[in-house]
Amino acid sequence: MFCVDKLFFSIRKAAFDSAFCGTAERGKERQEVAEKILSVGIDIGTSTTSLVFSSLTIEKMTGDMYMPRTEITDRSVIYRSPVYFTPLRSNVELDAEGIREIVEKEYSAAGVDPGDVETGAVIITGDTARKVNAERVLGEISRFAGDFVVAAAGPSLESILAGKGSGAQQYSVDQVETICNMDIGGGTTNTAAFYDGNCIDADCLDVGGRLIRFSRGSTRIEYVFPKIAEMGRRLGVSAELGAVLNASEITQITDAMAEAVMGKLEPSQTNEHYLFLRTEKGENRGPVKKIDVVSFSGGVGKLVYEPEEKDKLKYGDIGVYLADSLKKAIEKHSLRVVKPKETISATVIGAGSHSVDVSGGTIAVTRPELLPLKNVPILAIEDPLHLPPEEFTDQVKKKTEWLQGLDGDQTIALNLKVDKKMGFQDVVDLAERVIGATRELMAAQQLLVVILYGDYGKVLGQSLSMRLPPGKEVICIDSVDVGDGDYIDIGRPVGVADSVPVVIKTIAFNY
Amino acid sequence: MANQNINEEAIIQAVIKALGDLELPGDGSSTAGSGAAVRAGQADRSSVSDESLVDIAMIPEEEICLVENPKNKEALMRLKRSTPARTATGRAGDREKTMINIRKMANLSAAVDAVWTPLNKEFVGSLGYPVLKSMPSSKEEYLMRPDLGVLLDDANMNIVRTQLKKNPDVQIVIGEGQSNQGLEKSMPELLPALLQGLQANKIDYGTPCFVEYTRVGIGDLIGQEVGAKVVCVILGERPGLLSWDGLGCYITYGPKVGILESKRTCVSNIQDNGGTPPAEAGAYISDLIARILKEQKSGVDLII
Repeated sequence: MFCVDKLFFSIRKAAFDSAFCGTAERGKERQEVAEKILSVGIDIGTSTTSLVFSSLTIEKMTGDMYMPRTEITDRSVIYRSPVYFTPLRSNVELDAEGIREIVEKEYSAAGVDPGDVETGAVIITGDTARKVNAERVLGEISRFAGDFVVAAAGPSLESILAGKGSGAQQYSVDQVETICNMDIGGGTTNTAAFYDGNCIDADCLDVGGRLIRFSRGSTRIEYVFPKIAEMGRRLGVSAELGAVLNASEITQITDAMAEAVMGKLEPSQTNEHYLFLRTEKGENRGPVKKIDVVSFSGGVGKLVYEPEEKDKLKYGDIGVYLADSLKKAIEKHSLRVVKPKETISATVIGAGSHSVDVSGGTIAVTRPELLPLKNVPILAIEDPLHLPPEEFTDQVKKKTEWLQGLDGDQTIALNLKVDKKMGFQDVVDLAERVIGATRELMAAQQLLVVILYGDYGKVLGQSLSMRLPPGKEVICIDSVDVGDGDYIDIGRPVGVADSVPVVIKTIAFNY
Repeated sequence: MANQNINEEAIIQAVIKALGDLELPGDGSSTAGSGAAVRAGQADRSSVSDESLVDIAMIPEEEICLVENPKNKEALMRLKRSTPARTATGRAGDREKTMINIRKMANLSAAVDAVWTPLNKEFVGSLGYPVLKSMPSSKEEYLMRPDLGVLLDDANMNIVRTQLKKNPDVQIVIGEGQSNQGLEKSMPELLPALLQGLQANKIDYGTPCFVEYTRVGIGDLIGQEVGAKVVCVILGERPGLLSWDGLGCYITYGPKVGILESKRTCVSNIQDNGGTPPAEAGAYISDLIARILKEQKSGVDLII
């Protein structure tokens, strides 16, 4: 009996050893199929401008016996620039030269050649996006920054990036709580609520520290954002250009701003200050779920976690007053507040580390040289498997005209919203319907871009490719969640598997 | 979210209802005479509606939480969504709960059925490919003697020689393997996608064939005989307690009898319930075959 036991033990040990060594070797192999890419984030904000470089690790997540699935497994910030004041030429114009100098200086300080940067985003945020030359500066900087660096702006995107960059998104996964991150900067407050890693609500308010600026050493108003002047009138405070405010008048305004921020958290979303200060008009969905906990990021948000600043005019604006008002409001509303991993750098880290994602591992790209594609507008089709063919064609035609505007060459990406499991016959039906509905579009266009959520990219891509006339190319990617009004950038395939990096952008410049 | 509470309570009620239909012999009340017992039984039955009961085996695993008073149910349910495995099963004393036990038995039965259901000849005929049979003379022998599953008798070898196209780029071999359900449910989705993909890649796939009592190694024999550069065997995967309609695919470059198992590239767990959708798998396998033909190697030599 003893012998048998011993024998059994030695067999088990051998099995264990071989299993263990196998794992070690497999680990090595996995290293080889992981790829690191360099990503940049540049945030040109209302008051500050900063830059980070991140190293993203893209890895095949499945064993050799399964179809490849890739994920970004690590997003580490490897370089942070100092925080600069955003160079302005005037109250309405950015100093393009100055911004470019900062960016160039930081690239060389980090020892990074723009050619090495594979992805990332330049984001113009808050009040800066309203400057007259914002769009041009953004384009210029993103062209300098690297080949596949995207220019991005738009309050929703900014909110989501700040929420991801702050660490709130990860918190919602780790702590199993619904969290709302409030990124309060100089020009705007960007809110993003996360449930289980998904952004369930993104919003933007005209609440920020630099919406009123004072002349040096006084409280004489040097600049006031018109909407805040209007709010002052409603509160009975004359916050006009050149007016001098006393501490209680400033507090009245910042208290109202803080109440607007709190209003965002109320399920009813009927707070008058909140409704007045929202940047986007129109119907508000409100958070889908009850918010368990709140975090603050951004320059003003950071002050919420710090002891009271005695020098109220330290920054020559209403920032310190706003932080004080927020602290009072937090107490009044008994909010549960946590400090996020990143406060002042949340947006720039969001832009550098979280703007890019990867598609599914099995997709169809008939000519990789056609990539990267930038700023491709999304044309979403709901339930294309059941839509009458004429209506399908009609929708494609109408929306294409609308999306292309005057530029008839603009490539359009068709986003097919299919939420059921598809068999091969469904895929073939879908391909035929798409071919039928895009006949006119494809007469002018060489490339058909299709985006799906379900894992059918390769089979649908092949089905489309077989049915298109020769000379027409197909890019069909899956595991990407987009919608009408979004824009997408699609990068070149990354080394592991066939995945392509994608950046999804909500519409730019709709402040 | 409401669904996630399919609740132990509801399930227990369903079980009790079902058990209520069974008459337990030796029950004290039956002394009144069997007639009364039958009448009582009928009365009971008439009070049970004709609607079908919840099929305990069909409740998705991710909706079941049998842990009593979990501290954080939401966290538990999120963890469950990350795996098809049976988790958060709770316990009764130090044993499994009845619910889990019944579900396991049901799934085991489904797995056994998948293996033992006789081959659907009509379905196989509808594919329109030459049909072969490996050496075992029965399902039992097929399961007990893997060595026989890689051999063909003279009559079958003759079909290989006369009916299959010679020297294709790839010889496709399909079979029921150990899951008839995999064959009938998943193969019709996978195969046309695979063939379409091979056409798109301009790959000559010769004459696909069907082999009853399929073993992966049978492809070596057939591939060698027809002179195929690559053989691709797709067969029903051995069922488990989580899936019983899955397919496995084994691709071998330069097939020959006795080739090492390490030379095979495998795509596993092709099924529509948490695995790879069969249609997408077909498209993927076609590109994989194109790569194997290009790189002239498969198995561990090929880094996917």
